[in-house]
Amino acid sequence: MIAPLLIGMAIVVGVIGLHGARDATVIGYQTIVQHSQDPAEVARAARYHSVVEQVREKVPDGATVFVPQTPDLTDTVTVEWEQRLPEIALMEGHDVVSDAAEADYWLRVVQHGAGATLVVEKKH
Amino acid sequence: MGPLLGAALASVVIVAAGLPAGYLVARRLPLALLFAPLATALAATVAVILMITCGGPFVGWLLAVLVAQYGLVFLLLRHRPRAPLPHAGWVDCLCYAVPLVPPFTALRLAPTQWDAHSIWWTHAAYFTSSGAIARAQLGNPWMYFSHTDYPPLLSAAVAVAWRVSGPNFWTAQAASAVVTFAGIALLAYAVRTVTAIGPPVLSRLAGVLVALSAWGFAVVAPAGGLADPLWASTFVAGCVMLLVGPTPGGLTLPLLLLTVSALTKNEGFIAVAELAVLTTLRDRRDLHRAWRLWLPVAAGFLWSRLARHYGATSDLVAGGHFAEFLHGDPAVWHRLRPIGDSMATLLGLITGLSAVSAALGTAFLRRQRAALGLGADLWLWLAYGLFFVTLTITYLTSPNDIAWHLATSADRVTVPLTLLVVASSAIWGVTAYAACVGTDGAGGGTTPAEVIMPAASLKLTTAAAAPMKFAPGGKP
Repeated sequence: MIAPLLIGMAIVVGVIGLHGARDATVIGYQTIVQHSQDPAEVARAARYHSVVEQVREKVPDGATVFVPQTPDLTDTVTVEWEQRLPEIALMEGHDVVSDAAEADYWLRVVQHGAGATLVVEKKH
Repeated sequence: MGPLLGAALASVVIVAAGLPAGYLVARRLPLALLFAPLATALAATVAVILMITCGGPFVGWLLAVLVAQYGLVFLLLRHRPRAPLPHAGWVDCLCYAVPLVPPFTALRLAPTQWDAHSIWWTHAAYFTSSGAIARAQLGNPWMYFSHTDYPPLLSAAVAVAWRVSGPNFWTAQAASAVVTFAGIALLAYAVRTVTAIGPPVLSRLAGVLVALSAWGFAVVAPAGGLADPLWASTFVAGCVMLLVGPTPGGLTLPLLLLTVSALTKNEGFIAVAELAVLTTLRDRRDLHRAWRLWLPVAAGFLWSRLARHYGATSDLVAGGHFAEFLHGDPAVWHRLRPIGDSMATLLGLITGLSAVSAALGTAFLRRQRAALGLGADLWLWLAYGLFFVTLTITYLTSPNDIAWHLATSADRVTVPLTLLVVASSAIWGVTAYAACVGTDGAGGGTTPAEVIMPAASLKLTTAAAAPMKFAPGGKP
């Protein structure tokens, strides 16, 4: 009697544990087959890609860059770019410094709707 | 090269580069293919540590580590022959891997996960360059948001991918997913290994059910570049193999999986250290085995010291309210209620059901489980309890607003707890089946008993082969 009960409970627990994998499958299916995903995330990915391209175009190879930071944590757009810009700059082979005086360039992003423009200020 | 082609090429290289080491561990190609991404990630981690310590470019150290690794693999394959790991054939490995493919199709989502960018890919960005730049970023106070003290394994794998096909977020997401896929598939393997007492179909099903629980409430985490599913699945695989066993292939694979866990995230390091304490207690009469269980902890500790040495930190370490916690500050303990509510929502139902299953199993099938060669389920629950307490203390002492902190992380960091309770239930299910059919076989004359209970029938066969020795009164 106890064995069928334990087997049944194992199946129930296992099936409960499947909910995340099921949801991920649905999301993956919608993305691939129906070409539908959150437009906000698609726009965000496009902005990241655009800024990567702008860093490649506007910042010379091997430059030392500085990313000013805002103390205003409620300004989530600026905070996000303050985290993305070091990532993108390092990824593109630039050195990101914490001392503004050591930087060749200061970087910031102005986001406007679905677009984003990289602002590069030369400091030396 | 287009982003998708680049991601595909990088994924192939991550598998191919680790294949020799994977074969050394598994001694069979199918399981070697599943383990290979983890082997590449471990090699890249060693390269990152050497680069930070000694300086120089990442690519140089990566090539040096891979060449050394291949030399070692060649020598060990030649001079240390051993049997392949069990349950490592094509049918088994396809059973571990194929069910994971549908949820991993979320890999096609735009690569925008906040923590993937701010932590794992930012670290990968400075790992791809040189020791000097990596050291500077570890100690850069303006990289505070990036948790620079976090272990390097997943980022090191992304750095390899970027060196293969150029920096691109799609490539980063694909590389992270390939390594995570391997970790989750090996969790299925671990459960399959310890439930081999049951019929293969049931044992494989148990492995797949546990592995698919790795998505938990963090639906996009495994394919989205986050590290939690990787450390959680490799940690629970290690727990299952070391605490429940038996481990017919020896300690190499579980120790490597735990090393992956400890080098993937700080929580993984702490959980692996707790597991080492548990396994040492469990194996206290076999210190020759027990000391080796501390090797993954040593690897995590080495990274922790190295990162601290170069000034790495994170918000929890730098601003945690640990002293207030110890002094019983009401401002800290006031956070307990929302933490409890969140844990109950995420874990309550599944933990409750699994606890009932464990209690019933322990009450009625404990001896049968021991006779089948499995360790007590209590050890898995102790691992659960220790990590649950760790998580609770982490949230209590966190400098962040508790509502924000829970909302942004609780679904991810509770994944190992979900995996532990599903593993407990799945193992009890197979144990119950084995015990049930074994009893029926003895009483009702059905035949499957010897098929599904190799461990038990082996003992009986051994006893039956020397009947005189065990006869009353000794040899006639």
